[in-house]
Amino acid sequence: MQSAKGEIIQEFLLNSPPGQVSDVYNGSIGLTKDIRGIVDDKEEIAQLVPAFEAHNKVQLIPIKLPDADYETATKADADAPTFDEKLTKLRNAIDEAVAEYVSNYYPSGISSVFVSEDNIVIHIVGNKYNPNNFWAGRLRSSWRLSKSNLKGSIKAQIHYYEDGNVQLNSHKESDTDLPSVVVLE
Amino acid sequence: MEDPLDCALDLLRRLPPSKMQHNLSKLVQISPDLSEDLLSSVDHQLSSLTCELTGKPFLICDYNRDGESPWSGEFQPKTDGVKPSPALAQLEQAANDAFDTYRELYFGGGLSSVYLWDLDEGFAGAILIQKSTISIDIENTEGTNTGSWDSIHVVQVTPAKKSAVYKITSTVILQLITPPTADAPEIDLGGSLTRQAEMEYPLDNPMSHVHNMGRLVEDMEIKMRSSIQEIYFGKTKDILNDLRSLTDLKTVRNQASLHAQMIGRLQERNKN
Repeated sequence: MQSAKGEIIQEFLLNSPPGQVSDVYNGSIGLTKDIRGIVDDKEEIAQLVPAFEAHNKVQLIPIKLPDADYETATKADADAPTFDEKLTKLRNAIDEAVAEYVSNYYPSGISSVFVSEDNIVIHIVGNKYNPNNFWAGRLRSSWRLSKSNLKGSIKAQIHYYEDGNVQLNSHKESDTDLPSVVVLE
Repeated sequence: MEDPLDCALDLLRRLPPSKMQHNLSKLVQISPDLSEDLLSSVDHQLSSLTCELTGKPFLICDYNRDGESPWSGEFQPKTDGVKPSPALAQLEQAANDAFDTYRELYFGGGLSSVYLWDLDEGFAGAILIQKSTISIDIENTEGTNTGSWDSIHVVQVTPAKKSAVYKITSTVILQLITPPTADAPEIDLGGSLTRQAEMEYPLDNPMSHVHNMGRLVEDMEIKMRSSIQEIYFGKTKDILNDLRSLTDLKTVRNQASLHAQMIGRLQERNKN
């Protein structure tokens, strides 16, 4: 059962600025005793879980894999199985190249490369959270490489909140046809 | 953070400022008890009405929730709202004229309104200025650039013998939206900044309040205009550079390591 208050909190969670989803959660449940009561209800907590998941997926929140020691950008495709051998080989090569690029340009960036159907999907995210100085930022991009095309979307979000609330949201789409040399086999 | 109002205010400095009105209404929906406190302590973009008697537009806000027209002194719709005392009404009139001139000089357009109300000791007032622009970029057929400035100054005035103390809380809400073009990204940059100050100015006669409030608002707006420049553009750019460097970090790291090696060798040589 969806409650109107639960729906509003879900919306707030989805709109959390970089690195502050738990602040938004705490603020929301602290808002009224009534809400605290609601959140104590197991059913209501369960209702908020999809909002956390959706936020983490859309914002490419890095997660630690249970059986690995490194962080991977986005839970989005972490579970996607890869089977095709050629594609897996290509994925590995791209993964290595993207990781090098990210370490060269992102002071704290994380990248992940996945095989999705016949395509290669690349996610890159750079986060900086500085709550002591009241600012935070995230630059994230997602790319889909098909046989002859590379489509991408780049999003920047910057939040400054000392004696105010200033946010920059910027978004750019990219669509490039690739020369035949790079055609995937 | 246990106080519900603190929780609500904390949420409002994190949630997207471009959806301020919407977020505020959702918060009031979650906890209706807070509605009075929230509406009076949170500034949002101003709306306007047209004076039924003079035909001139004026700004409305929570400090003028009865809809008093500063041009006619009447309420719209007609209600028995609290009107300022005759002396204060005269001051209000003079302040409206003065800030209208100020606005024209600094903004070259837009709207301004001043509302004053009596306190047990002295008086308080709200000075409101708004300007919005829509510029059509001929290169970009997909949309228009829009910008809006709303400044809300709340002043509490306590007169002494030959001077008066002015406590001011100023908020500037600035929103800039640039739609995407083939080359440039979509940009939505906006939010609000709040600053406070307290000043004591000489008071020759009761009408000197207009000059003093004008001076104070002018100072605040000059300072805040420069903070906006610094934060909206400078700080944002610095943070973006912290997320992704424009230059190859490998070169920077190599230089740093080379530098460290050189210092190490120099130290070795000095030892020998």
